[in-house]
Amino acid sequence: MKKILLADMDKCNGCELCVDACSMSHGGFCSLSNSRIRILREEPTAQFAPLMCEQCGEHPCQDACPVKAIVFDPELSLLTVDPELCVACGDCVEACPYQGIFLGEETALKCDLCGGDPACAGLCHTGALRVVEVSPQTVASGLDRKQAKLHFIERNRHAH
Amino acid sequence: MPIDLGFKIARIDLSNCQVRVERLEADTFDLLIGGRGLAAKLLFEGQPAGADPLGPDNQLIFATGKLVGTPVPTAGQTTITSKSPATGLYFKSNTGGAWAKALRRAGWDAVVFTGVSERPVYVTIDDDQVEIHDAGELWGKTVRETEAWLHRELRGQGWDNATIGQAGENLVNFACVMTNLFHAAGRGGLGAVMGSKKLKAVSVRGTGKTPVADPTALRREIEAVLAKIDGTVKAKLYVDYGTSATVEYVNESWSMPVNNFQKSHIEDGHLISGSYLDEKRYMRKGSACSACPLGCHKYSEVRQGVFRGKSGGPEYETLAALGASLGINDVEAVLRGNELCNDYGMDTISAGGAVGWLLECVERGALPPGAAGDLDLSWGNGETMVELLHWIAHRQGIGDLLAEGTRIAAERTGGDSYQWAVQANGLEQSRVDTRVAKAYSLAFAVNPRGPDHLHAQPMAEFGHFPEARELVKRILGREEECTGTTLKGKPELVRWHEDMFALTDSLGICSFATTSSYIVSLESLALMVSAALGVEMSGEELLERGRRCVVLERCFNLREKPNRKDELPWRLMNEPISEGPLAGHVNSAQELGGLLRQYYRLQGYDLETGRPTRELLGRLELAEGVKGLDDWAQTLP
Repeated sequence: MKKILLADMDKCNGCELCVDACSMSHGGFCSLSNSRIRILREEPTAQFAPLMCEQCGEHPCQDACPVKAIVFDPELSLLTVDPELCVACGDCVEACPYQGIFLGEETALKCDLCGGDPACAGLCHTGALRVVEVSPQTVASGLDRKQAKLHFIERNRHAH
Repeated sequence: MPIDLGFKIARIDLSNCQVRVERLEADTFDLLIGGRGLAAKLLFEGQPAGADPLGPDNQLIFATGKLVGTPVPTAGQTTITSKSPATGLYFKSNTGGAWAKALRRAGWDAVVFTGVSERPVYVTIDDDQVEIHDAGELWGKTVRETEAWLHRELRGQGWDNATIGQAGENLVNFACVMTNLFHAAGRGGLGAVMGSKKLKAVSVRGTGKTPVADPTALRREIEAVLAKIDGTVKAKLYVDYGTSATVEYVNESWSMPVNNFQKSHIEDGHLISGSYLDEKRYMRKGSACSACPLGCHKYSEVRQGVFRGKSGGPEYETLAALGASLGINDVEAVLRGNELCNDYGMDTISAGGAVGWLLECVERGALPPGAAGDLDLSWGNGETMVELLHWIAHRQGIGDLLAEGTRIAAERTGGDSYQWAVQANGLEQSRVDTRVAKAYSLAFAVNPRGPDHLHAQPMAEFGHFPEARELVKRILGREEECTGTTLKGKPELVRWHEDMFALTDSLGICSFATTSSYIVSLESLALMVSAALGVEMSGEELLERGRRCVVLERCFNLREKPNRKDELPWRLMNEPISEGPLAGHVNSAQELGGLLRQYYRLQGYDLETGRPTRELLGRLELAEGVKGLDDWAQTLP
């Protein structure tokens, strides 16, 4: 069954445990530079948006990649970055409207759901990050949240 | 494999603008863990006895623990350590936000400021680049304005700032250092130390990596801790309301310090409670400190009227200090006062204590009704409180006297006014009535900084919730002592909480996780230290390192002031509670003396003087590990 990570901005308290959990599970150390999830912060209003791959249906990241390094993983049923092919040009980062893909030290970094058990959601106590199985209901509730996030990203575009 | 447990320290001399990098080996970790413990060692070794707190010899040390930067829950604390201008003694004050994590990511364990700059400066730490900049434009600005200026000047994301407001510049004896706008290293006037050095801000950006020894094991243990939060009474209250959750409980149990500790209950106290703030939508979600799943730090807003504005907080202590203890139950006035204290960088507990002392002096005739011009100096006037906060921060009118803190203000005023200065050793007491909380009374008396709750918060003594009763049973082997007013077993409880608090501060995590809500047990802590740092130490071994810090801090104080006494404010030792179901309780000299002797025995201190012995310092390996300690210890019994 296909899984998806859902982010609820209203619940996020900005603690960034998810960021450290992600980088820790992907490299054995904690660092922003190695994380596939980041927090867009709007401090005066205490609003925070977890930025990560939304597994959208359009996949502009894949379309933008000049070397076809973003490939479909049939086992996880999601797009992942092939580090052997990626040349870290950053075109996918530009293309993603959710700011959900990042440029790491050597390759682009994109959520891979940690193979089905995401570390970020495991350490998110507020309920802002949840892994759900794709169903008509989760897709519908995911759409509302994606819209809210796009507005928030637009409002904070200059800060990022 | 353990990660690198050495320490990298930046020493910044502001008198001659020199920056020096110093490295300490891992044996310091083994002795004192880091953070608060490391800073206590640096303070003892790095300055002569008798240094002027506001002079060039005093060090201002920002330190953080080795767990900071990992996802260990609540590992986001900065410890600021110095000699306090309010007490003239050792002082550490903690603050949250994201500053500590930035420092650690930048590769530093501590930054030590010495000297005094000729002109205002701010310091940037950009990974390993340390630079000193002119802050002429910043001087005179509030904390909020300073943050905004730095945001523009430094351009780009990722900077975290520690700043002072006008209170620090004007050397108010209870000025704070503020991190990330609303997080205060509140007590003891460390903001004035920063102001005396003409240091307006320290801005940090860190892009490095924090290693973790065993990610899989660490994730497993963190998930176990997180799973406990919702089922733990106190932790859940922090999540929902922050510390303001306690106001109503304290008031309804008739132990709220009202009118400068004259009374124990305020009418309509729910009007300043967390649930009221939530219900009336004054309180909002806040910004959690790094790695904190509790997120106790809320934001608040008054939408209209004379007290309009928004800020971080309010905390329990602020609602009590600027509210109940001044007879004020107008929450909008308290929120305005809270905002002013945040923006001027001023401790709400001591500010409220100073205003309360003034009101009582006028009530009892030690000062004239016109002491503050036209202001109405009667209890319960929110506008007066707000106005006086402006005066204190700018040292205007009687604010100049209040800015000294209540000990000095009373010395200058004379008469009986010392009785209404609810302070001991120069620090205004937290808004906790220790007359009905005997473990707290002992903890406050032996606290090296003075009577407050931030060296040991023995919440367990009340036995309010299952985690508390379990802990009491574990420490004492029985749980019948779970009331505030019993004396039995309290020294043991205090000792455990002191050690745990020091360990917690030394690792860089928050005491709300380990000693207030008790969601992180000692065993769990040992597991996380092992997984994160690759260090195998039992819970008891870790706790012993906390105890070394407690003893070392006491030595610093005795070196400064050999006749320093473990005591409580005059009022609490001499005036019994006057009303309510707990009337008659007091912290008499006899009662406190008895508790102290039992505590000294447990600690291995001299029973008469409360001084550590040379034998103890040897046994704890402090004599060897801290330079100059053994020489000084020649004077001990």
